[in-house]
Amino acid sequence: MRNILTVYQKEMRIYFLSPIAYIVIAMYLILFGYFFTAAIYYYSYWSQRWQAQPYFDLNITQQVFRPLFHNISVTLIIIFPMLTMRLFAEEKKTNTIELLFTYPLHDVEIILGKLLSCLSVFLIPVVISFINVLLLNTVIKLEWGAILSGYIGITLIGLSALSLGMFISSLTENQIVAAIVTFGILLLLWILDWICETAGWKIGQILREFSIMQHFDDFSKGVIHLKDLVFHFCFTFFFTFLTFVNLGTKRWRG
Amino acid sequence: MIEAKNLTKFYGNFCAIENISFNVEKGEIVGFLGPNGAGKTTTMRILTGYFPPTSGNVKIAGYDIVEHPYEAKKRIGYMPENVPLYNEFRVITFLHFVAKAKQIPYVNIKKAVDKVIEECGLEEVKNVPIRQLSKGYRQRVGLAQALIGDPEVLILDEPTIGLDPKQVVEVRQVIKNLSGRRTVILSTHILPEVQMVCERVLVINKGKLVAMDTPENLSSSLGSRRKIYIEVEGNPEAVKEKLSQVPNVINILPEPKDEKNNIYSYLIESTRDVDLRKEISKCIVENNFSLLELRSVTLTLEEVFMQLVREETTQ
Repeated sequence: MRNILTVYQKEMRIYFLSPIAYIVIAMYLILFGYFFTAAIYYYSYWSQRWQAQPYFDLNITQQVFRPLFHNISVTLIIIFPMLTMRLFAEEKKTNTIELLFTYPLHDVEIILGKLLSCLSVFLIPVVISFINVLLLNTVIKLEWGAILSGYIGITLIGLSALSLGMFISSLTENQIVAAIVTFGILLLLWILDWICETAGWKIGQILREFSIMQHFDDFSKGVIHLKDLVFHFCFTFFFTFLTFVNLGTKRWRG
Repeated sequence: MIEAKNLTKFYGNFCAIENISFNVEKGEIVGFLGPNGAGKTTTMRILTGYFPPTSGNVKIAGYDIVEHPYEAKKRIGYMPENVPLYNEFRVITFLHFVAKAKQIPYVNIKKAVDKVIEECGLEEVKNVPIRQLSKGYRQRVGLAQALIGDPEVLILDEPTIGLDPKQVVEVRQVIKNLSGRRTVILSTHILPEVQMVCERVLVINKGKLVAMDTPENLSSSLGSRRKIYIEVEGNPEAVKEKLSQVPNVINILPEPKDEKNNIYSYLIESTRDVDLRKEISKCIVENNFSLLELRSVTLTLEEVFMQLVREETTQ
């Protein structure tokens, strides 16, 4: 347990001693800020229309937060690879991995420490963006349940995608390759979401179960579904396990 | 302290090391000598638990490195080749991380780090980011991270490579000071270093352990011929003729030392098991030449190394 903390602290230090963490935090906040503002403008336009003709439903959660969360999750496809690309690739390139493997640290501790550290860096702007929501709360009554479940959904997407990114990073020495492949796979998974929407046939049903975005949808509505939680944890566990196996195989082979 | 039995490592089809077995007792300083690509780094990586051997086993302080890696690695300080370090960290931060990773109890960390900073002369640079350090200081940081917590076993891969002569002397002194207290294995291809620092030498060539002995024993036992060096005043032709009459002399190599005074030196090779010093000195004196110097010549470690390494098969 203590070792996971040791690795976690080291990783956090490295993130903040290089520009990466700051860039990611800034990017997320800027994008979130923009989407949030745009959604609010849109909503305020409709609320004025509503005052004139109150013939439709005006729901802030539906009209602001759902599209907000959806838009943000798209930008995350770019942000996640930036966080995960250096996790193992840099260690392999500078050979500091030889140090890590000869210290009395278990592979699992190293992997969990790294995963938790990039999740933490990701959660920093997510938490800061909550200020926007708090400000909104001063002018309108908000549906806190839905908003919080949306945030939980974002966190879970983060966990899943970051574990995927970590695995990809452990496959190569080259950070750029790791970043591009992670980005490509996340993009594919996002596109999978479109395919599921348009294709209602049997294959669509099956593909739906693999898509990260499909499992996020309910969170943005305010529904915390057990199957979505299970999906994200399984996804995370799967790629964390693959990372563990990969690190072990490289050393035991031959 | 270190028991290696039948270590073999294959990288795919390539055999990096084959059946290497050796023991290192507590407090010994042992050198790993061998040309590049002989398998020194592979063996060290197996000893430190970086990867397991294809077959064979290693015990460090009684703990098998594969079955009880945690216990074994706690007792090892390792400095890898090319000294990998976390460049973003400052020296003292990095050493704190290493101390934590090595399971040093929280209360002892500050003391351990300060001690090692002092031992390795890092006082002036302790707040400098590692990426700004010169090679010499980087090497010292690498040595410091190996020494943190005073581990029982130290495994150093080419610790003095790239250092300037003054730093080399300092590092060797640090290593020598550990003799008797800590067990050290260091790999090198600087032969004088082996002679100066190590009590025993393991010579590796092409993945096989070719020799294992003290530097002196290697020098004397590996010569297939004995050599005796004499300086004589007298006519070289006559001296050579008389010397060749001494039994068991294989070869005589005369060299002019001081031609004006008729002084020549002779390198006499004899077979291994005879010591011809008595016979030769008697021969020279009885024939009325003046014997100015007589000594036994042993192979230098360089020659031993070249000989061992040149052999295609092992004994």
